[in-house]
Amino acid sequence: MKKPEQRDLFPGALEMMILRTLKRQPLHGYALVQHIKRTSNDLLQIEEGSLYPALQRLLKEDLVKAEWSISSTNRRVRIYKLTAAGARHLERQVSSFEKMLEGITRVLARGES
Amino acid sequence: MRQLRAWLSRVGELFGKGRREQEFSAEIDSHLQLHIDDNLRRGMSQTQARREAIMKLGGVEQTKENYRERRGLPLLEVFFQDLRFGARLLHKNPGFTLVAVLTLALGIAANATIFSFVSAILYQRPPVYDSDRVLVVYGTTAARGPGANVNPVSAPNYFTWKRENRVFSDLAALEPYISVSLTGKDEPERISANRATANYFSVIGVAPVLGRAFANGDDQAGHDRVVLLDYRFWERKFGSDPNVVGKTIRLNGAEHTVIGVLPRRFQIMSFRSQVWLPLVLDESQQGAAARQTRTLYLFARSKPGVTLDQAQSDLRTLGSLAVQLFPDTETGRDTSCLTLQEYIIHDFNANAAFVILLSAVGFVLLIACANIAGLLLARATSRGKEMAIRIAIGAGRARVLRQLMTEALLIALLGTIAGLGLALGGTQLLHKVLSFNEAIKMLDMQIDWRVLSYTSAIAVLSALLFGLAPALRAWAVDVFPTLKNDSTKVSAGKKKSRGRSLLVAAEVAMAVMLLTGAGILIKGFLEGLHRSLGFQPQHLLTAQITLPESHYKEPAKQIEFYSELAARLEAMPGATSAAITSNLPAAGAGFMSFLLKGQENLSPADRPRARYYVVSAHYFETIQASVIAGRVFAESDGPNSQPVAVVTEKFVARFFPQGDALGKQIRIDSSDAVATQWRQIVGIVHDVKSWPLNYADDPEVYEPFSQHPAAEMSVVVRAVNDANSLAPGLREAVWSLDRDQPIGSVINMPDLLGNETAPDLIFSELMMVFAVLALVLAGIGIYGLVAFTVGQRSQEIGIRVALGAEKKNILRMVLLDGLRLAAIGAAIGMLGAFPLPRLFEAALYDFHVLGGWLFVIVPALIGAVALLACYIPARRASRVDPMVALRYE
Repeated sequence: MKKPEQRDLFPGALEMMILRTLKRQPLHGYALVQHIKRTSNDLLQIEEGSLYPALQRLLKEDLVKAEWSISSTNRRVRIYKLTAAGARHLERQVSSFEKMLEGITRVLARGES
Repeated sequence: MRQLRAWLSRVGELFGKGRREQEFSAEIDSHLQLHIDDNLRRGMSQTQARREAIMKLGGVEQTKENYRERRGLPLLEVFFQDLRFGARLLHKNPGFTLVAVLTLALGIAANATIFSFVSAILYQRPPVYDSDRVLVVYGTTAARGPGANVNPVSAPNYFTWKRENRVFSDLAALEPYISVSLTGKDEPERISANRATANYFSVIGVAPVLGRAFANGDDQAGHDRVVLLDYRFWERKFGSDPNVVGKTIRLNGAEHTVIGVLPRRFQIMSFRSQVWLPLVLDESQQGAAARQTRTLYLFARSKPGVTLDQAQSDLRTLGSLAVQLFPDTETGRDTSCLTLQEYIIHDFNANAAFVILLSAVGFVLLIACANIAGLLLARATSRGKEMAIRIAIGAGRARVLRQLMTEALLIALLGTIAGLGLALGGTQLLHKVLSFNEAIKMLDMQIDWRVLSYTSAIAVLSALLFGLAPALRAWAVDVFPTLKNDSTKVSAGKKKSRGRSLLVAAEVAMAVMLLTGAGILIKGFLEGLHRSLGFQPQHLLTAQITLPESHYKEPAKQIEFYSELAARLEAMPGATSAAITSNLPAAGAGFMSFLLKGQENLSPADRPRARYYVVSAHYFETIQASVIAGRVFAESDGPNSQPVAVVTEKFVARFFPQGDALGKQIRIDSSDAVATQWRQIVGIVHDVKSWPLNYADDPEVYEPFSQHPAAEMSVVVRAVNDANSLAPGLREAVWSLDRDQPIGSVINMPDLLGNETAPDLIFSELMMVFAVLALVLAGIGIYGLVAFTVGQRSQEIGIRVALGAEKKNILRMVLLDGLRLAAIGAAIGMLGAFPLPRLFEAALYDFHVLGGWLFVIVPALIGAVALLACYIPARRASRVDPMVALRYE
């Protein structure tokens, strides 16, 4: 059964967060999940299972690249890195997201008063 | 650009799939491991840590499947995967595969074979230039006969229409179906010939391979001693001599110069011949006799841009004009045209037979599909768990559906390949069987692209049909009950086999309909065959003789030749009597209109009609037709004595209801120049069938040969024993009178009747083959279902036996289950078959057969087959050892 990747997020949100997180530092999948959870103060519960298809999509589009290496706990992990194209894509996404958010906020604020 | 690259890499991944898969598995493993490490650090137990990690991930296998769907070209990859899986399944179940593929192959082969025949007729391109513009103009009449309503037209009409039409760029006339004597080359021989006007070959656009076609002037009287040869005739008679042009051959006693040889491919199905002669027509002949001499078929090339509708409406106008101007000869006649290709199909006049045959093989295929669907359903039941597991671990239902359909397509593919292999033999066999018909013999029947596309289309359709039921079953699979249940169940449960029961009932119904249909056709054939011929065909030898006009133009000479011939034939050792006749008995003598005293003012169209024979003195004695009243012809009925006639019982019944025919006067309209006289009816004879399969007799009237001689006659000789042993003597007798006289088809009467009934016989036999095929397939279907159900219920049966059920009770239980199904199917089939006799009566000419005892025999037959099909598994069920069955777990 096919599951929608972002049950509680809007389309592209998960990708945007992954790219933003990877911009700061390259990470493996598990660390990515933990980081997103932590930084959102556990407000965002991303389904771990949906992370990998999203990563796969990003890999396909050359927005990230992946490499096998060894983690600090001596586990074999796959480290994801942001590419130059990924950085540009993130910028565009963030700016358009901010515009959208601004629009939504205004509408919500108007509705309240 | 990026999309292109992504797409290319996806294509690439179709191949690097194994590595990808491993990498992904490793990544998921490492993810889980990291998570578990974390959980352990937080103080969970090993088990708890693992469980929590897996739950967070959301199902390892589902994630993998989700990931896979992102990757590669899903459709294509999935298709290959399904194909591999399907092939593996089929390979693992050779029994299932063999039965399914073979069943389908039979159905496909039957369809491909019949279709190749039908398509060879319907889609042949006539071997003429730009054939869409070549039209055949013919006459039609109001009366419906056995053949197509296609009649030749007269020369005066040809000239008028050629002049007056506004739709043809040119019009040519063809006189087909004549024969000429070929002498001076080996034995004298009767060969088929067509006569054509000089413009004929330019109208149809055909050029000879050697020499020239007819040119202007060839069709002028005195300049017409030229001949064109058919390619095969040139091969046979001249050994493909390249210098044949300019040589002469003797036709009807006159030298003709060969001017050309026609192309090998040039044989038009309705108008074949061995030689082509110029047709000499005299435009000044416009009288009633010329108008009634209807021997021509007109070939036209339509003007560019003129449609068939326009041509037909122009001809209708011309036809009605002729009726207005010449009501005496043209009333009741109309004219029409078709493209040559359509004309050939129309003239072949077998559309009803095509429809019936194609429906029959369609039914066979449907039954085959139902069988395969049944097999697949049975497998689906045992694969219920597999499906449930697939769905549980993340395969979409659509994905499972797709896989099942791929499997069905795979079976269809194999079945089609095997079926086409069978059809290859089938077409050859059919072509051979149908070759008694000269026109079909030259047909190019083969598995061409049309047959291939038709076969592929029905194969895909079949796959959809038989793949649908199991696919729907899988779609509706209820995951949890299926996973939980299964191993503990005792009885199959009614619901599970309902789909298959429905299929088997439908199969039985179709088989019943097909059997009844075939039965009705065969019954009709037998009823026609077994009605008395009215004469004794055994020990009769027949031959055709046409005296050439050059030597035997005068009636006296014709009488002299045939009287002497009859005398010599009777004198042969081993012969008891011999006679001359215009038409052999049961060989379809034509109808002729006539008048009785007091009806003189009836117009020709309104006059009564009877089948017409001209026979010599010993005819009735020779064929052994019994005389009812009065006398038959004798030597004393000469050219100058009182004109006489003999009629049949049916004639008396129809035209003299009081039975007082003897002594009455009759005047038979004659198509030739011999003066029509009033004749006295001197005798009444027993009805003779006009065709060997006729259901009813037509009225018949006979004239004595001496009072109405003709050049073209048939000979009948009665032998004491073997008729064929008289053949050399017959030839000897003819050639002792005239050594240049050709003899056409020397054949004994039973063989001749066999040739005449061959088309009907083969049609019935084909139907029978398909009906038996249907019966066998339906039997296999019943057997499959019952055997499977017994297998599923073996535990239930074991319990029953353990609880004291007797063998015969078990036997009866299983038998009744199967038979009930067959009975329901048979009842439905009978309802469907009920209107068949009337359907055939409407579709086939002169066919009146009632179902009668068929409605008893067919269900009985189905019952017997069903009983056998149920008995085998039922006996096995009754022998179930309760210990084995219950221990099975």
